[in-house]
Amino acid sequence: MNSTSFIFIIVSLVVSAVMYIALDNLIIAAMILACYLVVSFMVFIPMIKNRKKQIERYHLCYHFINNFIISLSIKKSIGGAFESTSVSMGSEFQDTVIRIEEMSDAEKLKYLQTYFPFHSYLLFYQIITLWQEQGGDILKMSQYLLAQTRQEEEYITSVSSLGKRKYIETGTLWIFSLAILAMLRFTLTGFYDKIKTVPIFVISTTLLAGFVLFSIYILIKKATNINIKGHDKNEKII
Amino acid sequence: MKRSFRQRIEELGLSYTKEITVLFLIIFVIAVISIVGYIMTKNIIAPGIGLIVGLIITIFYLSRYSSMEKRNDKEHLDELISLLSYLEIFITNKNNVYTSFKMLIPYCSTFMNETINSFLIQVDNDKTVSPYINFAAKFKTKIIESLMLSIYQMVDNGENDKQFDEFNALFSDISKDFYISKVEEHKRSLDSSNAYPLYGAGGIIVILAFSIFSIMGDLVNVI
Repeated sequence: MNSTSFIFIIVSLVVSAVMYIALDNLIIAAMILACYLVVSFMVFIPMIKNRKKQIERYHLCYHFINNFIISLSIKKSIGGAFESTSVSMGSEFQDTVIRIEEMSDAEKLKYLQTYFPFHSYLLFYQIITLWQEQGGDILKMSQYLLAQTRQEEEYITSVSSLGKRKYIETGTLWIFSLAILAMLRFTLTGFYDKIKTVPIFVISTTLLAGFVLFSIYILIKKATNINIKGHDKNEKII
Repeated sequence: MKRSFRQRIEELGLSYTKEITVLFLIIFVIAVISIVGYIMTKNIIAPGIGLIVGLIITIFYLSRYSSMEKRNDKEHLDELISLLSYLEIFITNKNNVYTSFKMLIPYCSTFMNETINSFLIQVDNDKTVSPYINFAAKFKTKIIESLMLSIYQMVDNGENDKQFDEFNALFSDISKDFYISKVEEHKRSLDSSNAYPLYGAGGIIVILAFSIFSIMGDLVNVI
């Protein structure tokens, strides 16, 4: 089980526990728990995982482009540059490289367009093709590409860290709000026994649990709304 | 008037027939509810409420076009800034401005594809600044007009390095500001999420108040 799934299980347990404390109704609390777990595993976790993978892949693409161009400027051969760049990449990339070992260096670079489905990689590929055909100073040829990818990388890093910070901020605020609800049972003591039988209290508190779930969805939607050029937000990465 | 409304809907990529059908359906359903309400209550208030609700829903339904247009304009501007950075890359790699614009096509959305193609056709027939001004007019911002004028000057002066450097100096500032504003916008969008827990806390207070009033009401009834 990864950390994202673990966090959502904890969130589901906490919300349903608060609802049980507030309503003193095990059936409603169990229904809320089931609803939270289903929505978390069917909607939230896939949304976060897919976006996380896209961001990780862009970081990898950025490092690949940078390392490849620097290596190419030193080694002056695509094969040499590809070899030294591949060494510095992660195990997932190494596995992909092993699968395409039979291909020529140019074919490998072309194939990687499917692994890095971003505009930055397509531009990089065009520059490398041009360099192969006409030669020239690769560092000069790719200076604007490097600047553009760096700008995009900075944007992605900034917005991802903003999203993480916002998860913590909003989570903390919800903990305080739900704590008020849980504390009612202990502060109102005898009066609480009357309140928990009032239908409007039961219905509204259950609706509040739905509102919490809706706010989590909105937050995730906003936090994962990162525009990576050349790649659709909802498209799954291979 | 009707024609421009139709054009507006179609420019948003929506079907005019579908939009009008939905609008009429909403009005029809509200009218039926109002008439049934009047028959059942024999009170003029029911159709009155229906009229007000119908009017509000219609206004909301129609006002979404303007927010869709704003969102589209922003997306188009965002795309153009990225495309101009690609244009820089192509020009640096020994392509002229015209070919560089052509090379942008694989990176374009449908809207941008049509806009660039129309621009290239205009450039073929008109060597003045007009195609550049017309192109910039699609983006409703003076920044793009300045950039397009800079590109025109580059073309007009034989695409020398000095002109390219001038364009690059102008564009790098715009591009930097644009990315900063994108991050700021994302931050603003996330900040609005902080309101939900506060609404939740407010909701809890209201729930509690109503529950207490309900119990007190029952107690008063018993007494």
